[in-house]
Amino acid sequence: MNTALPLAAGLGLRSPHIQEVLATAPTVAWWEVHSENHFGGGAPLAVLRAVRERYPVSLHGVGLGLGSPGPLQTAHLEQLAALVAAIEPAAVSEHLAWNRYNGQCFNDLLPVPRLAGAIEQLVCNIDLVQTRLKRPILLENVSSYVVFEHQEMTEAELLAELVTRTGCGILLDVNNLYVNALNHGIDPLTEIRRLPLAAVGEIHIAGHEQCADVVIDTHGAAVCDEVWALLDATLALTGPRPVLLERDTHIPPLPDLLAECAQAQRHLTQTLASNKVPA
Amino acid sequence: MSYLDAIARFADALNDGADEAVPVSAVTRSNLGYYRGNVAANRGSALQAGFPTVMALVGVSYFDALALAYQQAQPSVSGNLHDDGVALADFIAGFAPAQSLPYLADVARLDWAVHRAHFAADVPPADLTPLQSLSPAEFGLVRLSLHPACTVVQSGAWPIHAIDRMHHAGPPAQLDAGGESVLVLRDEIHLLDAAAARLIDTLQQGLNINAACEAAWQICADFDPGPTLSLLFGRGLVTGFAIS
Repeated sequence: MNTALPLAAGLGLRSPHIQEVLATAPTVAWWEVHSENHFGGGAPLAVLRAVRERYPVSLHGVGLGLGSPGPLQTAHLEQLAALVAAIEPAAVSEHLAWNRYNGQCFNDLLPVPRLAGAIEQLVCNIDLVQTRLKRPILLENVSSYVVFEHQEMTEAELLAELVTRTGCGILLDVNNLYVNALNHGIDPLTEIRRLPLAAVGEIHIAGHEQCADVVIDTHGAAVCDEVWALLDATLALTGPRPVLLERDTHIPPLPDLLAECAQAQRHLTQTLASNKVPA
Repeated sequence: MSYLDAIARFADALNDGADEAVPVSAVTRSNLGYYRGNVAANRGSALQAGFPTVMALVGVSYFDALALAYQQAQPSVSGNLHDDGVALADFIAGFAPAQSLPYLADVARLDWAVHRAHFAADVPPADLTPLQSLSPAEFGLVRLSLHPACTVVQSGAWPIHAIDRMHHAGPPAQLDAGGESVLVLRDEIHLLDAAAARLIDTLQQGLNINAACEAAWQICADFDPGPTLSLLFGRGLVTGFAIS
């Protein structure tokens, strides 16, 4: 395993629920936060330290832009390194995405064109991050609303290459694969079979929303039946893995999320019952 | 086409709507607009969170229009959305549609100071022992480093403290009450008199204690710097010093 996450279902923790979590200490195996929300000091760091005293924590970055051309933003990486040192997280993850060109930032998870030069740039940036953090990171597949022409490989093939070259792990987001299946007709299980499955250190599930003729990965709805089924099929291939439920918009009351997280745990428990835990 | 060319064209499309040049399939080309929308929505949400008092003053739809105009004028330079908005106050000051709200830029300065103080790094207070053996004359020559979560915001014309409090369940602000200065300490805000504000501001510019007191006395000849210096030392806001 390339993380210290418990082999159990965890829940994304967003600011509306942090005080309630600290006050009520609900039964959740682990929490994942967006790293940038806790950069710096003050209350944002203090509350995360308090969460960390009681639970394993995963730091999930959304702003490093590992697929961007050129050097990473040093200040961003240094703030991440300081947060990692302060929190001692069970996992650190980022996205297979870019967000910066020519000094300008585009604050979104933009899809990396899988064309000549992409692998070298990604390897360079991932190496830099892993060297600075002194630990491997997990790299997450993203949802995409466009398909670049003449690409040299699928996203899974790119992830496999990056795992080989950098020693990073994979954060497999099955909702993102499902969104890409709906938008572009990819076959999620074919993609998953292209991954080095031993490198999958975490699985994400979330909800999405239909917007005109495109499915958007909003993390703004409950997990749908099809994604639950895809989770089961994925776990059958990978064996048991830490599963995280994400919710970023239309955030419901905490008990609703705890119930959905318990549902994820039941799916994982079924897999645990029928699999030996991988070494 | 290379990865770098494709990203350059994607970036151009995000800025200028030049979608035709992006090497994506014809059937998905129109989806580039979703990325423009996502970037604008992500920045817009971050600006809403960073400028709650400005938003309360103008309402959500006005604020969103203002935020969009700001985004077009001021590209994002950080992958951390909490860094967005550094130039919004200056932008408001020059934004023609906001001229009827002349206090808005100063309120935005206060919102930004509060936002930055919330996320500012934790820095331990300095060990003050070496200062205790200084004579008063030597003490006056000391330059202080203050905590990054400590900021002074001064408005020459507008009661920014009262406006802020009004939007935190305080009484209605009297807009003709004159300018106010505010001390932002992490997640607290305190009304400061103008001389105390000048004292702290001068210290933050790196001048010594004597110079800061002189600057404050120019505002108010009988200003007593003792309570303000006691606050800085007593609250652990002095994080370093240099003895000349």
